[in-house]
Amino acid sequence: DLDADDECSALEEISDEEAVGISIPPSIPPASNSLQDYVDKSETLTKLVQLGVCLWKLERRPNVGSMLLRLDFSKDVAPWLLFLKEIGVEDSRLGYIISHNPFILSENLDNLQARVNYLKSKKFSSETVASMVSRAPYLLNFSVKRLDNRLGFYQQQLKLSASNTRNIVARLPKLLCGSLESVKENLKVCEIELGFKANEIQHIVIAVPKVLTANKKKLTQIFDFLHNTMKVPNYLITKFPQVLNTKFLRLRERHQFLEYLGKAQYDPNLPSYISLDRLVSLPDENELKVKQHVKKKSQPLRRHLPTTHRGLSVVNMASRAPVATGRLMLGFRKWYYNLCGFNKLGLLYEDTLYEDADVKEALRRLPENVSNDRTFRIKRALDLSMKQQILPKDQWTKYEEEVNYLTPYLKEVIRERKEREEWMKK
Amino acid sequence: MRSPAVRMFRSLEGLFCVYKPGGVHWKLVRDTIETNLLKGVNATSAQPLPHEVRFLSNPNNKPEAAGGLALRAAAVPVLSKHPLVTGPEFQHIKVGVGHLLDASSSGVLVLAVGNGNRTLNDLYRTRTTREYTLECEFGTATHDFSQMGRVVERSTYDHITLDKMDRVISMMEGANQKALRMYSSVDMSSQEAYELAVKGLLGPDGKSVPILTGLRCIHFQPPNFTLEVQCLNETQKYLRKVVHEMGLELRSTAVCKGVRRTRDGPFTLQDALTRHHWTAADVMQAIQQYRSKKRSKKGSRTLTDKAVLQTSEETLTVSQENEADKETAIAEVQCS
Repeated sequence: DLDADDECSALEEISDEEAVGISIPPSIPPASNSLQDYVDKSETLTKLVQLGVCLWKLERRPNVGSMLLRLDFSKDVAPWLLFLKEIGVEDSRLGYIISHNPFILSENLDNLQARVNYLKSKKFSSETVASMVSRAPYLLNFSVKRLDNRLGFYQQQLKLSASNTRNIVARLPKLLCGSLESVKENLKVCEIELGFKANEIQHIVIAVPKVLTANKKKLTQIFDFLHNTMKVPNYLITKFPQVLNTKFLRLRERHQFLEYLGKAQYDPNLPSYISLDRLVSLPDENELKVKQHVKKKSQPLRRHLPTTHRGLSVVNMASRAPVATGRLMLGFRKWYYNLCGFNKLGLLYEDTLYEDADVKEALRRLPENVSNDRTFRIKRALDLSMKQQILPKDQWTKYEEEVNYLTPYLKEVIRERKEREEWMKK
Repeated sequence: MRSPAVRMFRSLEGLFCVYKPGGVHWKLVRDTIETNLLKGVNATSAQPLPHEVRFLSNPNNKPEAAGGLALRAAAVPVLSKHPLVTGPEFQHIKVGVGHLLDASSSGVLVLAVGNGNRTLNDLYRTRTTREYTLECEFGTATHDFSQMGRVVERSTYDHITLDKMDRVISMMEGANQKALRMYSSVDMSSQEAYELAVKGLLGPDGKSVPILTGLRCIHFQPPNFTLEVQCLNETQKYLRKVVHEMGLELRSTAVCKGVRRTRDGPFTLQDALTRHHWTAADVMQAIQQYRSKKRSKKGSRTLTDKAVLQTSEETLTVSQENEADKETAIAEVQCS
C-alpha cells in the first residue's frame, strides 16, 4: 500500500538517538560463491588473510570455504597455529601450510602431537620435523600407523639403513604423503625397463630421491635418450644420477650441441671426456655468446643448437690417450708393400683382387670415374708385363697413396649375400 | 585508471613468432607461453588497497559521550579487494596459434595475444606462403614417410646424380605451377588472369590442395640431400610425401629426416624466439618490433599504392585489412 511510504521519507531529519536505534540488517549475502563477500565481516577470514593464506585458491575446493567461515579464530584456529609454532615452523610458512592443507585445522590436537612424538621417537631431530611439516603440509594428517607403514616400506624395499631412510624422507617429505602404488611402479620400472641392479637403484635413490615420485613416461624418455642416443652405459648413469632429474629438452639440446662440436664424449676412459653432472647442472650463462658463434658457422643448424658454449669449458682431459700401436708396425708394412711388387706396375692392392662373384658385383657398383681409373691401371700393368718392364721409380704407387676404393662396396655386397642366405635358411 | 597489470597486458597485444622445437606438441608451446605471460603480467606491482570508513566499537571503556555513542570511525582497508582474496588480476590470457606444426617438425610458429587474434584471423585468410627446409635421405622408404616409421622398402641410390635430381625437381615444379593456375578462380584466357600473373598474385583463394610454389635442392650429397620448399595450404605430412614421391621418381626411395619451417608469411627465423626467451619481457620486445615493422611498412605502402594499377583484385583487397596487402606483397616477392 502506497500510504505507508508517506510516513517516513529518507530526507526527513531525525535525532541522534533515533539514528543509533535504527537496526541495520547485515549486508552479507546468505549464500555466495566466493569468500570476498564475507572477508570484511568475519574475524577469522581477516586474520587468515593477514597470515597470508590464499583464500582465492581455497574457495575453489568443495566445502572448504564454508568450513573456514564456521571456524572461530580464538577457539579453532589459534591453538593449531600455536602448536605449529611450538614444533618449530616459521611464521612465514604458516600461511603456506594452511593454504595447501586447510584440513589440518580439523584434526585433533592430541593426534597431531602424537604423530610429532612418533617422528621424534624415530630419531628425527626437531628442526627436521619442522622443515618436513613446512614442506609437506599434509604430513601430519596421516595417522601414526600410516607413517610407520611408509617408513618401513622404504627401509625394506630399498634395503636402506635407518639413517639413510631418515635422510631421504627428510629431503623429500612428500614420500610419506602420497600413495605407495606409484612408488612401487617406479621401482619396478627402474628394475625391469631400465635394467638397474638393486644396489644401483639404492645409490640412485639416496642421491636423488625424486626418482621415486617422478613421472614414469618422462623417466623412460630421458633414460631412452641417454642410453640409446648418447650411448651412456648404466654404471655411468648410476654414478651421476642427477641426469635422471633434468628436463629432457635441455639434455637433448646440449647433447646435440656437443655432437655438432664433435665433443660428445661421455666415456671417462677416452680423451676429451665430459662428465654428465656438469652437462646438466651448469647454467646457460654463455648462451648469447654461443648463439652468435653458432650463427657464424651455419645458418640451418643455428636454431638447432642454441645452447651453452660448454664444450670447451667443460672438457676434462682424462687419463692419457692410448698408445699409437700403428707406429711400430708401419715400417714393416711399408717394406712388405714394396716387396709385393704390384706397386711397381702402378697398381693398387684392390686392383689385384681375385674376381669372385662378390668382387664382380662390387665392381659393378663402382662409380664411373673410379671404375675407369681402375681399368686404366690394369691395362697399363698388362701392357708393362707383356713388355717385361716396370714403371720408373717416381711413378711407383706409394704406400701412403693406397686407397681402399672397393672395400665399402665389397662389404655391402657380402653383407647382402649373408642376409639373403639367412633369409633363405628360414 | 588502469592498473599496471592491465597496462602491461595492452602492451603485450599483438603477433610474434617462436621457434617450436621438434618432438614437442604445439599445444605445449602455447600453454607454456600463456603461463609465462600470466606470470609476467601478474608480477607487476600490486595496487594499494582502497580504504573504507567503518564504525568500529570503542576499545576502551571510557564513559560514553553524550548520546551513548560507543563507536568510532576509522578508515580500514577493504580486504575483499586484497589479491589473496580476489586472486591474481589475470587468470587467463587468450593466446592463439597460427599455422600449425605437427609434433615432429620444428620451426617458426606464429602466436597472437589478446587483440592480435583478430589480425591472426586475417593472416590466416589471406594468401601467404610458408618456406620449409627438408632434410632427406635416400635409401629407405617408411610407411609414414618419416624416419621414425616402419621401414617398407630399401633401395640403392648410387645411380642418382644432381642433374637427374634437377630434372625431377623441374618436373614437379611444372606440375605445381599447373595446379596453381587451375585452382585460381579466374578464367585463364582473360585479361584479369594476365594482370594477376604479372604481379604474381595468381593462385587459389582460401582452401585448396597443397601447392608448392617453389622447390629447390640446396645441398646434394648422397645419401643426404636438403630441399627448400615454398608452399601454400600445406601440411607437414604432405611435404614428407613429396620427398617420398621424389625418391620414387628417381627410381629409388627417400625418407624425410626433418622438416623445419623457416618462414611463415612475414615472420622469419631471425625474429623467432627460442625456448629460453619465452618470458613476458622478451615477448613484449618481439611485439614492439612487429608493431614498428607494421608502421614502417604502412608508410612505404601508401607510396607504392599510387603507382600500382587499380585492378579488380585490388578493389577486392581494399576491403580487407592492411595486413593482407602486406602479406601478398611479401608473397609475390617470394614467388618470383
